[in-house]
Amino acid sequence: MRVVKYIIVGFILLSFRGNLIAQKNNVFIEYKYLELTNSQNNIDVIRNNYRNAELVSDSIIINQDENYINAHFYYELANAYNLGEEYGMQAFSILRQLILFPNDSLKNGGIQSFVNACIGLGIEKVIAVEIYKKGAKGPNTKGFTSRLELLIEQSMELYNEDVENEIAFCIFQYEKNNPISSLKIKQWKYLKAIKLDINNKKELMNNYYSTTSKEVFNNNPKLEKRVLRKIDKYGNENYNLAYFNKLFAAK
Amino acid sequence: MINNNTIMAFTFNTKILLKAVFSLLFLFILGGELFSQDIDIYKKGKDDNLKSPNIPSGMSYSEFQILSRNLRLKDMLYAMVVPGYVHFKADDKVSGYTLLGLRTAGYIGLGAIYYSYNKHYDANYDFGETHNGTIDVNNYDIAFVTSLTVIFATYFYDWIHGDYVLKKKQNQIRYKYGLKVELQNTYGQINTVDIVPIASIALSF
Repeated sequence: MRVVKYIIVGFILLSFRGNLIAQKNNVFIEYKYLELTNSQNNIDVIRNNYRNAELVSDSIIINQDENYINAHFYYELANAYNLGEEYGMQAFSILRQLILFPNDSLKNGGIQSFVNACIGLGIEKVIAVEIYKKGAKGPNTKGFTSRLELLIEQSMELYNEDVENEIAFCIFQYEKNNPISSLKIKQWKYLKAIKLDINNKKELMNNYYSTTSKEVFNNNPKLEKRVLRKIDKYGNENYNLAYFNKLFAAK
Repeated sequence: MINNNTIMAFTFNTKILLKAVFSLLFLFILGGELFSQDIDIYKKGKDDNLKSPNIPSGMSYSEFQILSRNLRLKDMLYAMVVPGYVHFKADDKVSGYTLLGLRTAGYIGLGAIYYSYNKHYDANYDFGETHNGTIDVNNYDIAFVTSLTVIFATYFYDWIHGDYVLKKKQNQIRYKYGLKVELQNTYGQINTVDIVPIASIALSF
């Protein structure tokens, strides 16, 4: 009977390995395609592939597959966004790789591409390097969720709406396999759902460890008013005031 | 002796025969066209819609739609009626709506000219005046020519540029998925080899 068990386990492992090979192949093919098209500098062709490249990126995040090809893929994706002058997504591509899959980091090329993207976004070089270094340092606690939290925090520094939308999609993909996400992620999702702008979102999220209810709003009555107005306008059954109070309750 | 009547009858019959032959030839040439239930020249099978296409993974529905679209002669007629039709077909909505607006402006211009010209003419007619000195024909001419130019220009732009846009988009899609399939064929197998453990024995002399 033991032999049968081993055979079954062997089959399961083989099928799992098959999936990983397919996954690795997809990333490799996409990386090669990006490399070929980036070198041609044909903007229309490059832009036409953004959606497909993001699909591959999503599959990497869903499978949480750490592989050396990921670094090359994200670096080429960043180059593609750079050629299409989408600096927010360029910086986010580097950040995704740096924070979510730190083992694959391309140390020299990555930081240069990230700084260039930040300059394109109007962010000072010093701040860009700081964001990158904080991302490279990684989260204090282990686990993919904490890495995702760090990615959200660092991405907010980019103040880019495209990036915000992509983060929302990343979280959506991640929660398919991990339904219970962290409080920080829930807070971010809430603020995104009520369409609070990035500045205010950042201000609220910075008060994560607030001890009084006033501290939640950073002692800023204007911010409080703005948030309540947004809840009133865009809130629904899931994103109502009671849920807000529960999420942002003083610790 | 062949009389004149016989010659006339023969000539008459030959004419009818030639007409019949040419009519038959004409029908024969256009036979396929008549059965195709379309005004295009190339053939379209009735079961074309039943064939399942090979769709590459990652292809979106809008990409599939663009690849499935061809510009045909009937589209030229549709584009006359619906401004920006070809651009809408090529999924270039911005240009489509711009052309729609411009052509509508052209139609409105023509309508306004027709309306004001008639009104002016009727008013002058009631008073029994001649046209000379009462109607500035040049202004109407300029407005008329401008409107007409806008209508025709938007039509030809829609047709020619729309065709270019559609083909450009189709080429981009074909290039993207075609190259990826080739890359898969080239690198797909090589890439899997490096993670499969292999044991081997080598003999050297």
